[in-house]
Amino acid sequence: MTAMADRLQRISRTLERVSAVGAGALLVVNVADVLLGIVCRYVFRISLVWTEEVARYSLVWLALLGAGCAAARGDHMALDFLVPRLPRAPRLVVEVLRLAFVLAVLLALAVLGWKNLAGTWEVKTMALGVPKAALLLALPVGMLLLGLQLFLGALLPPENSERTEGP
Amino acid sequence: MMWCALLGAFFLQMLLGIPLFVGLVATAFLGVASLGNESLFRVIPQQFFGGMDVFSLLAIPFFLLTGTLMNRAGLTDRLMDFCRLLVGSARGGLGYVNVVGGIILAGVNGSAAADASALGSLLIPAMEKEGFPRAYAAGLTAGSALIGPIIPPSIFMVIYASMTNASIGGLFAAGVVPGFLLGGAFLAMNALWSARYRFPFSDGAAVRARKGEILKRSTGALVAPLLIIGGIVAGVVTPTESGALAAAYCAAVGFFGTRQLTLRGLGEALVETVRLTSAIFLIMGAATSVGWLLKWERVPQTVAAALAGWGLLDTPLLLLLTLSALTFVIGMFMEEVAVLTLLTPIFAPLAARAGIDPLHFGVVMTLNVTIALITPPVGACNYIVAAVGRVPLGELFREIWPFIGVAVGTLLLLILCPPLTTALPRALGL
Repeated sequence: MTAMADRLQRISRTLERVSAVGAGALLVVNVADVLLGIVCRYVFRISLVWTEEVARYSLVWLALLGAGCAAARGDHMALDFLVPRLPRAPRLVVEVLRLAFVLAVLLALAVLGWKNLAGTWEVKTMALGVPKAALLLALPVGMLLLGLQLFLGALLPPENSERTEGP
Repeated sequence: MMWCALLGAFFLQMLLGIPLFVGLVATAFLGVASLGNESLFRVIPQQFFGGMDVFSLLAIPFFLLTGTLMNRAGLTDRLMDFCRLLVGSARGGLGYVNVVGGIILAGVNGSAAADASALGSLLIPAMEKEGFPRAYAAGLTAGSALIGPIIPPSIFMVIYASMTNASIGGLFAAGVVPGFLLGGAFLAMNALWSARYRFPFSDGAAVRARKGEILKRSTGALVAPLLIIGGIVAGVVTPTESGALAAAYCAAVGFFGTRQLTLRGLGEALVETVRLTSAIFLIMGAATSVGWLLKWERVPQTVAAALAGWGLLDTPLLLLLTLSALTFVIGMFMEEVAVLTLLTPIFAPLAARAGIDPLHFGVVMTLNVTIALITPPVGACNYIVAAVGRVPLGELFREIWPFIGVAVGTLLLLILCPPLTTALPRALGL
């Protein structure tokens, strides 16, 4: 049982790390991209055509990839004042139903988002020539990772104080 | 009928503690289901995505990152020392420090939440130690934080501009005078309250003795707001670029100037920024899909026809008051980014039809949504100052009303006197 919990814990932390490192790296790309645009305009007197596309792609991916990491730290706005005050049994029932509902909504977004990819692999962007699908793919991937993170979080025992303190 | 059911479903989800963005998306799905047109389901992820994929929204993570780096580089602490030197020795001095600190931080931070936690964690304990009532210290901090989204940079204004044709630079410039007015109003309130309740003096001598050191140390921190506002006003860089520059500047000062920033600290700042960005963007995307449903069902037209029927579109003043009252009530119960994303596409065209200047309306709308940050029961700033100041929420909710009154008073002044917002952008040609 505890071995199982340990394994789940490790998967959950790995997911959080992937989400944090991936999205954090995209933010660095984003800042560097915009700074490069300024330098090129004022120092080299040229304007790069691809900076705007890089900025858009990295922004959308960082927002959706970061969702899992935000969930692990409880950053998604929710008004959780009623359920924690319920007695244990009804609380568990509500919590399970609530999780199932949230996962269903995320899955719907992911599946419909995936369907919307159809036909966009051939559409290439103007400056970089990257398929438009590479941009739209962020939605299904982000929602699946977020759902997985929430699911694992619910299976695990409550976070210990060392981790909830945060940086 | 359908709308009552949808609203009921939404509030039930909120009561059950379902995350706001999931609740909004689910409500949009339910709305489409009730229309009985299956092919429309696919529009929801499209709208959700479209609400996030806007180039100008790039400014949001940059302004968030700048604020986080300011704290980690020790620049916020230095700014507070500077404010203490500037206004700290009058009666109720720390109250003035709180508001002036709010004004200066507003020039760096794009969000009130960042200001509330930075000001609150430094000043609420200090104010309490000097003998201010704890709820007053927390309330004033929440009030000072409201200046953040009005003085540029402002995440609310970036969101507003991304949904209308207003220029971000123009909106930013239009917010400068109102932001100082709001700060002035809270300073005046602190003066009145300090005299009436005999608030304490701080030990000014100790601060003045370190005058040279404080001035020297805070110079680097004061450059950050000048860089952001100056860069935008002078037109050298776009608002988005100013955000990237300011973030890079704060990182450079943190590494080489104050030497308080480590690589680890930079990594943590990046992750913190990403988390906050993601939370904001998901709410924007979700609210955009609900907004699409409202448009599909021609709700904006219905609202417009009703308001026109009451003659409100011919009287801009009454229209502004009505829309502000509506936003105030909705803002009491809903998160602010969601309110802004939902209401802007409905309200902005109405204001345009009534002949209201778009920049004026943008600032009025931003201030409306900003006030919602401190109106109970749902207001992010109240939760932050209650947490960092260790004030019970119930006590804060009782004591927050005078501060709401001051902010609403400033809003009314702006509504009555549009040149307060429009004069500066006009003068700058924005």
